Amino acid sequence: MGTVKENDSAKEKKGDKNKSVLLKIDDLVLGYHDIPILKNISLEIQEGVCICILGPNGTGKTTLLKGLLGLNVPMRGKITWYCDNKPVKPQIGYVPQKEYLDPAYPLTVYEVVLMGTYRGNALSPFISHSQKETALKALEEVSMKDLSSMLFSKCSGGQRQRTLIARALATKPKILVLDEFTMGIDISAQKQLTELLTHLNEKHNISVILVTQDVKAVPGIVKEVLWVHGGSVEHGSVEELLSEEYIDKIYGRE
Amino acid sequence: MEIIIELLLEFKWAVMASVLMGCVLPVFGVYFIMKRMVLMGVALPHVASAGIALAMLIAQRVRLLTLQPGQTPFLNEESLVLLAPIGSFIAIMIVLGIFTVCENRGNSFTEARWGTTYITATALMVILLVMNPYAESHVATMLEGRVITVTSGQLLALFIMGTVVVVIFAISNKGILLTSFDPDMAKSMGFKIINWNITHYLMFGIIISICVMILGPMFVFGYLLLPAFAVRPWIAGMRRFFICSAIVGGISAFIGVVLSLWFNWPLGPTEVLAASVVLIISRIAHLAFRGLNRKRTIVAGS
Repeated sequence: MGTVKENDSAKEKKGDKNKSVLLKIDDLVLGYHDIPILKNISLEIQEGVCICILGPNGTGKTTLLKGLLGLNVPMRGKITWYCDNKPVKPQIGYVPQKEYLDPAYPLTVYEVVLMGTYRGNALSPFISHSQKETALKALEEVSMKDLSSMLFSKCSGGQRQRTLIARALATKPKILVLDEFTMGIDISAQKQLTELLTHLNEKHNISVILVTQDVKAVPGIVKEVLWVHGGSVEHGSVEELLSEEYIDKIYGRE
Repeated sequence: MEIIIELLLEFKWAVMASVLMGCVLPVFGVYFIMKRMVLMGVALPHVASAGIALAMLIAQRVRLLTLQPGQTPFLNEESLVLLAPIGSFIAIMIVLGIFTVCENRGNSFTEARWGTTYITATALMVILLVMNPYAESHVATMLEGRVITVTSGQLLALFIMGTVVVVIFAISNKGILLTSFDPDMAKSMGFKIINWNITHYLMFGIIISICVMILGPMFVFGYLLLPAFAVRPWIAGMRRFFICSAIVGGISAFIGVVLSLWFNWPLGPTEVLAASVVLIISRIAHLAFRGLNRKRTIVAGS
């Protein structure tokens, strides 16, 4: 329990001179109410990567995610984000699980996306021209501009996910973090979302961190995996950590 | 008709106060509905009432202890007018402070806590009134809220406080909206949830404490809830939601005033009833509208 394993391919990537470090985790312990859930995590992630946090239900994926986002204070250890090789936390565009957002709010798609522009401008009754432009550009990026006046709660699962990605993009992020992004979405919408993430990752050089419990839902764009299980996190390439033998080993252990 | 116009002019301060707060309260009521805090809307006016009753009791006890021969034991009007908002505001702030801490610590059972607050405040208010026979009738009138007796001074107080709170609300609304709709996203963007909750609750506290004292808990709760609830099914967009709730609240209050003068019914309850009727009409019309739309879709499909 509580071990961290970084396999060879992950270590090789650290030596990649073209890519700088995005995230460094040292001896991290995360948990709630003094009960550790994830222990002794140490790893390094390179910039521009698309990584997937995988693991069965209740193993600590959300705990790790909240720790990375700064929503859960570490019990021990350190999480250091880097931006342009400096230890500065870059802007993170967070895409929560869409079911977690209350449909009672009669927000339009446009209003949801506008929220991404509120940072540094929350104490003003007005929406500036640049905020409007940023929101519209983000909507265009995810092909939702035509539906901008539609109620967010009336959108389909795929449309809601696109809206939330647009909102994350409106924060002008260096990293996109998506929690259970395929949950409740049909296969064709999943495919479109994967294409969108590939576009954002490759063309805009936005690093992507996905969280999912569904091994089959890991899109082709993912290059590295963080397996969360039994209180530990294993970091490796897709080829190694998504092999059938490895998956059997993980689920056999549960 | 002429009689109604005459009466409207005679009770112009009451009419203006009703319409003004009929517009202001629903703006705050929007969040009561969205954040599922309706019980808080019931509880806070009663907390304010208990605070008024407690302030009166303390002042009365002090008055009796320092009473000189030949002096009347009753508190004068000025003291009562000064003590009521102080008692009401302090009580609301204490309760909201405790709840903000609980919310920040992630304690659950929010509804049960507000229910407990409501019933405790109501019981306390009755006991405090009984303990204060010198001020009982005066305090009881104040707690009921006599909209019809609103003076120009009270209207001015409502106008100033209402304007201040609405301006603060307009300035801070973006942060309040983000932190209540998606707190995790807000935190990841660097928003401090507790600060926004405090700002939000402070505005509730100010507006409710002053309104309860002048207009009564029934009017306050009625206009926090009913207009926003009537508007909700028709609305797409938060800005429209706030504006339409305010308009519907103002119109409902005015209809209530006219009905009250026409039938000689008590003003506060008639205004609340008018808002309830508007809500019922809105819901029925929405059901009919949806039915019609469904029918059209089926016809178009076939």
